Amino acid sequence: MANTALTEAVYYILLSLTEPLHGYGIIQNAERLSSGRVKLAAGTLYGAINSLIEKGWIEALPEETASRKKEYIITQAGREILMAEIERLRELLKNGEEILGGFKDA
Amino acid sequence: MRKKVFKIFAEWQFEKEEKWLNEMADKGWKLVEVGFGTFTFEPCEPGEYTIRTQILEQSYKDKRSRDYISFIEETGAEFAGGYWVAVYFRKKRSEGEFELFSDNTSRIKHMNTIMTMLIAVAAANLISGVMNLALGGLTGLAMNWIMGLICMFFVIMLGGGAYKLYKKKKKLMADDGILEK
Repeated sequence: MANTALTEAVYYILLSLTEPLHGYGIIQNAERLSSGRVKLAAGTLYGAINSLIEKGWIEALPEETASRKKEYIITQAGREILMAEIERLRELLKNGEEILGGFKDA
Repeated sequence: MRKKVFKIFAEWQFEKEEKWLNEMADKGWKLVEVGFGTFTFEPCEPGEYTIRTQILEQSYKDKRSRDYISFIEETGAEFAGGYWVAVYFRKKRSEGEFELFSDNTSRIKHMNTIMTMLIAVAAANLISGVMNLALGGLTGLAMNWIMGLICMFFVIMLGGGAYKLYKKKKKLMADDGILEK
């Protein structure tokens, strides 16, 4: 587990699901957070959501009658994965900055 | 006003099919229904829609497929039709770029699904082809020879399609372990 690196798509999906969201909400949120850089396609997102549910990192919320769109939320296990990933990214960033002397001179 | 077009695309022509459907949309005809060798269109603004097709792992009528289709619909695309394992979606260009896949993992998974389908159909044709040619040899009936040759033609085309896809997949995988996409 210590050596797990998340894909960019999974990272943004988990981050988006710290609040309940449906599929389209995740796509919009990832695009907003990355200033338009990350555009998740619906088919790719569907596959990722199913894999993440299988892993127990996210779960589907019980469907309400009011809104027919299925919503998802991160689980405790998913939250821990996300925290570990942020720790890993911090290490990458720290080493990069130390060796190259920060972004300004890079 | 509806327009029904009779056109057959063989299993290995899925890319050509998607291209043609987009050309129809560019000319102002949006896809609204798909059947065996038939495509039904309704008028739209020229270039109003982007069409995307996908091969699923099971029939488009299966419960898993219906779940998938409604997920895609929730993202703003419309279900245009389905036939056997193929599904067709359209999305308004004004709502942004329309792709079904945004990373190589899912693109490759889709390619594997198509390759499995191509190889399965090729295997069925190969069995039928060999049987017909053997029968033709025994009975000397032209019917068996012709059927056998048709089957073998399909085997070659399906195999060629699978090989083309395999080369494309290798190209996508060239950046594996270096780049994420």
